[in-house]
Amino acid sequence: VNVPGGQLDGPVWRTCPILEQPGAGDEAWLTRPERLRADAIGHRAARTRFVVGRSLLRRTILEVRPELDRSELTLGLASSGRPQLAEHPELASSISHTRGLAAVAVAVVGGVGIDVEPRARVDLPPVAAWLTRDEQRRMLARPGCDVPTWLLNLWVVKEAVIKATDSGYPIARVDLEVCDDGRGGGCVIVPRAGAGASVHTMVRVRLAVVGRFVVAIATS
Amino acid sequence: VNTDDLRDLVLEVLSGIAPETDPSSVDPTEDLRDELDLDSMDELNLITRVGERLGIDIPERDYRQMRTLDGAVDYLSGRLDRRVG
Repeated sequence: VNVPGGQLDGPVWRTCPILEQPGAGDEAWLTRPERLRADAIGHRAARTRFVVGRSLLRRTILEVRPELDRSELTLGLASSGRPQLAEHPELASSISHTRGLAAVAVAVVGGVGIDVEPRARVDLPPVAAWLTRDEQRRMLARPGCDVPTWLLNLWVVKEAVIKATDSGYPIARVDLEVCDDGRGGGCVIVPRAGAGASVHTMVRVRLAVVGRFVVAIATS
Repeated sequence: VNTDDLRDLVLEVLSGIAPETDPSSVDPTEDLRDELDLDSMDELNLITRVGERLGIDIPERDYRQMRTLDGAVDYLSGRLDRRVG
């Protein structure tokens, strides 16, 4: 069962519930090397998520580019670890899965990143490890606001932005200044002083709620 | 702190993040994210908690070195050696 995602000025994103085991249809979408990789994953739930995510990504790619031949969709991994279509590197794609839901995004132009988390998730890491100082100040200046939700939204936004930028050097979460309080809109990447050129990149981010999950989609 | 202590520490923290983990069954060369079904949030929780316990700050650029149990022990051992030296 697929839950429709949406289209944001080009990027198409889709979600799919993850059950205890992948369906036979999901397995059939995998290439032989992917099946071998899936079988090497020791944890059963992790294997299921891998299979469902890859299957959903292939189906979404064909939705975006229906003229492509299903048998020629060789998904490799870019140096950043995100999936890359060997025959069509101009197509950007991203996969995220959490316990219960897989989400994928495909973009014809530019980079794309997607991240999904359960809305009830509360085991966020200490904020000093992933919030900028200004974000920490803003968090403290929001008395009465739903801080856990604010933080979770910020988390998925940052994860999606990191995937979307994929700029060839690792971007630390503490270097990402999210300017829209995690509710959608723009996002500015601010490298730490001394971390390189003073590049400020605008990344568009959108948040969506899918049942009991929150999804962030970033485009660069 | 020797490498056995570091291994025990990582496994102890892991068991708090993934309570279903059987420490004796962890393959030290396997990617912990695949083997124990950890996601990026679990990974950051693991690293920050281990760092706190050892009193070291682990920069994000080094996270990839901690993706297997052996990798984590080697990395932490190196960091602690440099601190002592």
